[in-house]
Amino acid sequence: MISVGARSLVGEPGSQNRTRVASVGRRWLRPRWVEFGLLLLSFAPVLCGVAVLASVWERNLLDQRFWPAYGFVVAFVACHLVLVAAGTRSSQLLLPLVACLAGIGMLLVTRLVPALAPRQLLWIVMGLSIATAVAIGPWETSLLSRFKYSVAAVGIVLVALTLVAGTDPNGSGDRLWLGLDGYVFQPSELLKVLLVVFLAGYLVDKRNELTQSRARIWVLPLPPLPHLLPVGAMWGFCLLLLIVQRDLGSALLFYGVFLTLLYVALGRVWYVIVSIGLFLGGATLCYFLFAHVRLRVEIWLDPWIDPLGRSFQIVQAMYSLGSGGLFGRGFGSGYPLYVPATHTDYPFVALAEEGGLLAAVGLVLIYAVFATHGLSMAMGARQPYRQLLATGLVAIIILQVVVIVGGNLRLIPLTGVTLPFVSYGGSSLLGSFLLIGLLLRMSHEEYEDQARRDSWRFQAEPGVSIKSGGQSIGRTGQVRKSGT
Amino acid sequence: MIASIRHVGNVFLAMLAVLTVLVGYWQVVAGPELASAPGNPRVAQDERRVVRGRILDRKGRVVVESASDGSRTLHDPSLGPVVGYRSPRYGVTGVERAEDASLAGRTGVASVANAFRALAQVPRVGADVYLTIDPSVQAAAATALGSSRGAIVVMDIRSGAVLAMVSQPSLDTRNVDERWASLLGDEGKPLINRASQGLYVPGSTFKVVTAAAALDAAIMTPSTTVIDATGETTIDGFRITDAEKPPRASFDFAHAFAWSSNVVFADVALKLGEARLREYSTRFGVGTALPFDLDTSATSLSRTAPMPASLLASTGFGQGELLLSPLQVAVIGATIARGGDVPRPYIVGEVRERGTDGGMGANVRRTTGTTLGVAVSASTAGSMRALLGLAVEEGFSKAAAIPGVRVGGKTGTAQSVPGQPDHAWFVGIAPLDAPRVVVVVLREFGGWGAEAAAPLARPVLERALAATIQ
Repeated sequence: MISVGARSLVGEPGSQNRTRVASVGRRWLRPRWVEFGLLLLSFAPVLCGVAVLASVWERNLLDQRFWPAYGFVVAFVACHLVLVAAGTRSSQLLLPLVACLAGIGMLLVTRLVPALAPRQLLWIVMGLSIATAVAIGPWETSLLSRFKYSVAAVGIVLVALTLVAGTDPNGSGDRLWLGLDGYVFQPSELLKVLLVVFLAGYLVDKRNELTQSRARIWVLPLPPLPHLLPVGAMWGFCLLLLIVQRDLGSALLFYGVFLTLLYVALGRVWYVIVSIGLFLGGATLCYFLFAHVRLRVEIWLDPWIDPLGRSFQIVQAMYSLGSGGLFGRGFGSGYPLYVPATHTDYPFVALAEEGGLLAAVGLVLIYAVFATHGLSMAMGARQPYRQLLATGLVAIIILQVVVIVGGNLRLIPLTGVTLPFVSYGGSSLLGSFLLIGLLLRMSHEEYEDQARRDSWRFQAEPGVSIKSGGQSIGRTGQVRKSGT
Repeated sequence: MIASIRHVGNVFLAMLAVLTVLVGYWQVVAGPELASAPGNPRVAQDERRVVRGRILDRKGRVVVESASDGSRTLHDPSLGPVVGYRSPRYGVTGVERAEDASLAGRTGVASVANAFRALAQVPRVGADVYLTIDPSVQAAAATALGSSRGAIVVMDIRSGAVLAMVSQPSLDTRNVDERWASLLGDEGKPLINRASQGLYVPGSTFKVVTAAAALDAAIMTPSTTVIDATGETTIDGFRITDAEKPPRASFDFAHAFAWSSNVVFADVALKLGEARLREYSTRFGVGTALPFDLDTSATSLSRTAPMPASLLASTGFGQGELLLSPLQVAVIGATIARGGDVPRPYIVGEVRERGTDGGMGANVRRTTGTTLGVAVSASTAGSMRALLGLAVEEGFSKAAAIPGVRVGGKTGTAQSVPGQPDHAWFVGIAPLDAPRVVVVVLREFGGWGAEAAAPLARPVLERALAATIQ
């Protein structure tokens, strides 16, 4: 399903021919017409949604409630212009995909909790700033690989801080936030990015050692014991999340990302299967040891035992979901607010009720396009570190979608994980935008490298291309080698 | 590593595919059941989002319509007890309840317009209910009754359509929730529609049933000579007196009816016997709740069975344990007027979709008059009409006479609570030769039927005859 062939969409093949030599190094004002066009298209959901809301609420289109949505459009266009001005070569698909998702999120917040829309816009603007800074800043992703242990240290400090000084600002009973001067931040959102940055570097370094099996358990090749340490640490950390922090969602997510990277780096299915088994074993143990885990699982398996009490949210979400039907009840015409905490826990259900199966499947498809594009970027990358980094970053988003939407649809117990770019929430948005910044940066470097290679080849073999048969000559006389 | 990434991608896409299948299951397969589940708050919300249909009279004048906030506005206060109230807490009554499905657009409304409204997520529009109420007759009845406690029912005897129905004290259907305690405690009992739910001793108006039974069973003919010399008699030690002693000691049965001789009718009831009196009463509809669009109370001939002779005798002239509603008395009058078959009374004439211009849309349902069976033969009914005519011309019902129109009728003066004035009744039909309408007037504690009820019927009959001239 996924192939490297999608490469042509990623870069800017047209301009590449003409300007290859000149483009090596810094260049300002590089047009990104694909991105611009797709961006305009991706504003359709949020703008159409605003129009529908205006008619349902019988409000003027210029009503104050809709300003954040318009601000959102301006922010993305501004971000696009900055990328153009900075002359980055990064992927032109990422920004429109994110705009589409964040637009749906912006629309849902406007519809569900209009008072929070300005704050959501603020988070998006901050997130875009971070992403843009990361994408065009004067640095290299290889730095991340080099300073992987520092990154890990930051992560460990974050976890330690949360364990010691975690707060619970919204009364959920779980102390998963760090407070600073009235602002709260959920470290796990940053932690997931740090985890990928570290693991990608670590696994690339230790790839060979980890696959050299000297010992065996039955038929299973066992990696050398010192290198098993991170695997064990990861397993322990995730169970710790589950038990101490009661954060099943983050545990599932971290472990899933870890397994994905482990599999991609080592190519050993057995490791994955055994690790899944370990996690399931640990989780089962938790079920029998801890009452709050048991409660979660019980109301997941049978929400009808207490529809007005403990499983109220689940049952209301099922009603909401079931009332959507094929085409939905119409934006602004449903009752998703009967579900407690819709804008953070159940944005997918709110969309499914008002937009129906059509909108729900549409949203999942956008994530599928994101996965396809992100992973084809990973496959196209020349450095193993970038391959792992991109895969890990995509895994964060997709696994998060699977965990939260799966929870909304009762495939797995409900967790507090957010729907990337769509849910209301500052930490989550900033973390996700940081991730997009990294992907943009990575794709930019990938094309810079390619341009550098091509220009080197052009300078090194100036005469070869003219006479050889399998090559064509570009307009400015440069060589275009087919099937690079 | 590239191959591994491809595997990861395939697993990711497969997981997303599972999610789409699952959301499809919840929304399309399990959806309808979840959407209509009793616990789903959207069910009640949707009800509130329907633009409830209007209630109109037979001339198309709006009686009840929804205000923009969803509350119901009653334009004719005299129809309050008929249309009833809608309260989220205390339920729905009257026409609002009888036609709830149509008014709420749940059934019967299948117009193209509503299909588009469903697609566009615009609130559905309920169907309009057209009552058989004639506004001029209703107004005349309301004016005639004034503020006296009681009820007036006017029926087109040819179909059974109710042309007017007044119950006083009337019900203000607005803000029933807030006034519930006072409404419930009101000794005037405005929550009861006296016309269809009120049960009263019918007094002499029941002599119509007794006389019809006696004629039909050939126990009596209009010209059979009867004797009532003293205006009183004793049966099993139970003293029976006439309200007013007849002017002559001996007269025919027709005059016994016109002069409302209790002594004669006690004797007739005994001659009929309990079985035949029950049989004929049942044929007229007594003993059960009348089939009607609105709630009706079950009427009764007597709680005691078998009846002792004294009870049977007093039942014969409309006392005893008899309990009838004004609507039941109207049905009895209509049965005589139309030749012996019992019409099914109705008040909902038509259900129509709301037209795009707010006017009449396509017809959904139209009521046609039906009969509940035959009570007496046509010749008996003919004789009874003559008796009713005689009662107006020579008897106590003179006050109901209209110049130029022959009217038949019977008054009733029914003992109410001891120490309280009697209930005043009148049942009248017109024109006597080819009847079109029946009017029943009941005044609670009104006193003499001839004085308190019959005069009220006259203007109402006049309006009703004018309204049914076509």
